[in-house]
Amino acid sequence: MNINRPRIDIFSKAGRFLCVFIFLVFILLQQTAIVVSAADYPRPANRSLQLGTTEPGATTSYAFSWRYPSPTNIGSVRLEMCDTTDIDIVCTNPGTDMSAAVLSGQTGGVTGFNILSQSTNEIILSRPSTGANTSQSTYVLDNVINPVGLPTTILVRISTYASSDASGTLNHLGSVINSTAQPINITTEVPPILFFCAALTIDEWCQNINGNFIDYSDLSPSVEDAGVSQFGAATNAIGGYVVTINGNTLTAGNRTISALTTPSANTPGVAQFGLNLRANTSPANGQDSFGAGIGTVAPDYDTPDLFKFVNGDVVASAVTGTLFNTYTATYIVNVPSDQASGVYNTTIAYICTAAF
Amino acid sequence: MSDYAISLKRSSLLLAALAFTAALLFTNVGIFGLQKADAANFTVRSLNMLSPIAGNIGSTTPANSETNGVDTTHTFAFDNATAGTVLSMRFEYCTTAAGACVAPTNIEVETGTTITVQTHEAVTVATPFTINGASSTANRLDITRASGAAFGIGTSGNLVFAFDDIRNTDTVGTFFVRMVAYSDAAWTAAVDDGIVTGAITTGIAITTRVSETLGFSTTATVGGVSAETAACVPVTGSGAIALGDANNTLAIAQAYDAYSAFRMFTNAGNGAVVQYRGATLTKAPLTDDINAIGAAALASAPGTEQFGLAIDADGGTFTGDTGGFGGANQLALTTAYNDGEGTIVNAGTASFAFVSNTLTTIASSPGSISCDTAAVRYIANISPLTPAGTYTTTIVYYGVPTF
Repeated sequence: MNINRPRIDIFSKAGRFLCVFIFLVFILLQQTAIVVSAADYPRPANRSLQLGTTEPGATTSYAFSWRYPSPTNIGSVRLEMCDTTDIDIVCTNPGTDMSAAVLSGQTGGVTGFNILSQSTNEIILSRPSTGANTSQSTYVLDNVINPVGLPTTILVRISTYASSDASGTLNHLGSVINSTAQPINITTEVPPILFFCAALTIDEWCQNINGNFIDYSDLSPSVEDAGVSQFGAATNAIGGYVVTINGNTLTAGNRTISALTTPSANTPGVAQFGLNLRANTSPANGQDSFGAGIGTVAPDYDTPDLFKFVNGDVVASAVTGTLFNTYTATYIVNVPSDQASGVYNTTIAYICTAAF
Repeated sequence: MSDYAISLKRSSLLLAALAFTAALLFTNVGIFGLQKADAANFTVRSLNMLSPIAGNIGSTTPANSETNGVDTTHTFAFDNATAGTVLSMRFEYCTTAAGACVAPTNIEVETGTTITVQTHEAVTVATPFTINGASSTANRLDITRASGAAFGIGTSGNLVFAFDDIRNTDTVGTFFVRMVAYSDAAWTAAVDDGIVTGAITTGIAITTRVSETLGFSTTATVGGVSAETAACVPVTGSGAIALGDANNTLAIAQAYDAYSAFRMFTNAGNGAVVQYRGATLTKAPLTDDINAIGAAALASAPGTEQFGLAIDADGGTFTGDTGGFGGANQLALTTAYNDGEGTIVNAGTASFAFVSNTLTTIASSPGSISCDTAAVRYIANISPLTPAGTYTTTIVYYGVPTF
């Protein structure tokens, strides 16, 4: 009995089938052999990714930081934009662009890298292969462009190699993750602000204003007559404010009491109408301006015991925004003995103009 | 009576004698081939292995845990059949129940093994047994004591011995432990014996991977904050805030506030931080700004320039889930930013801080975060000197996990 198996002719149908089958099995085994997982490699420890900004689409910095888990030789690091940590799944870049990134900083235990190559999706850092240590190392890439989506997860796969060109077997494998976020944009308005009031007496910030009428009663050539009022101002106008005095001198029909057109002393028996904004001794009336503001009195009205009245004159001002100042105006009225009789009156208006 | 008859009778007698001798022999040999004369069997006996995993599989789990076959616990429970004093016992691990004992491969019951439980009728044996290292071997555990009270015959499982740090055999399958109790302290005078069996397995090795995760989202839209679910869906909506009165205008005598929110989850084992960075409210193109409150928290002070933020644990204007801080898998708030709830009138109960153009941490966690949402409250006050105009700022938030 012939116990030998019949030989299969390699060119026969069965032979060809056998060859194809063996080839397919070989390919399958090879593919199976190269499937590795992240769990197969030590992970860099204490790893994080700090973005310079999380604004979508912004050009910013990416600071990677980790500790090498063992003092193995490190010659290169691959930073790869991914949407998964699985090494056996092809990376899909969520939209980060590293093509123009520059290595702006490297600190810690393992340094000496340069950029070997880069593309939109990945950067390979390279250095002469030498032993690593396990202290924290940080690498900063500038000029990286964030993805534009909101919120978009930015996952960077970190692979380290003993080789200087990211070839060969990995030493370590891990991932860091961050995310774009909606920036919070706050908008508000600060309104133009002007505090101004005038009365016989006022409080700071014009909280209380009282009276607007001064009655000199009967004037006498030998007796000085004086009255006082106050005004105050504050503003946030960057050009500050000016306060002008507006009105006429005292009149009774077509009769007038002459106004002082230049700063002059109080002289009973002479027709005078004027004011200043200081504390006076003659007459003993008035008060210097006060308050936290920076307002000042105009020079012509800033000398004690000298008085003036010119319609439209600036009596006080501030060069920029200021807190509240209170001004006290002292009005003098003098008449000669031949002053025509009558009821003399006037209305004085203070006008404050702020320059915003 | 014939000779044949006589012969038949003799044969019958011989057969009977042989049967009797055999019966005696079987009775005295015992069932396990053990050298004992009058030993009875333990009853209701069992071996409980804390881990059935083979020793050569190794383990990263703690010693004497369910998945550690390198350092495991074997607990024997049985009833003694004979009342009396027991001064020594032997537990011999074999591949077979009877015959010459062959040690299971690489089993180790002597080195490092300790007795952790020895009870009679649920009461710890008053005069305890100790392991005799000289007599014990890798597959034989000999325990002894100098004296001790007699064991009565008790209820089911009245004797229990547990041994820690036993290394299981490498061989998957059944093994046997031959147990003998002796009335003397030198494993000579057997009293009771019995066999228990155990089965070694490989265990079911399951491997999977959990990727690094982070979900971080922000919004200033009131309706954009949904409930915190297991999926921890992001908050959504615009980041635009118009701060002030109905005309988005601030005032000297009144503080105004507004809200945004952020939500975060991560499985980062080394914790995570939430940070912000941005300028204070600034008027462009000039350099006028509203003063930032600074690093130290302050209450609202209308009439004074202030810009600050803090986390409002009450959620502010948001109707979705917010709050829940400081617990397990939650964010803990940085002190200067943890008091945003309350009033913002002059010297109100809420307090705020803001450091301009500096990356500042407002919340953190030492470990992972399941899903946490925070309402951030912004406050602005102006002084009479604050220049008029439109003020804006952009606050950027960062969720940074460390794995």
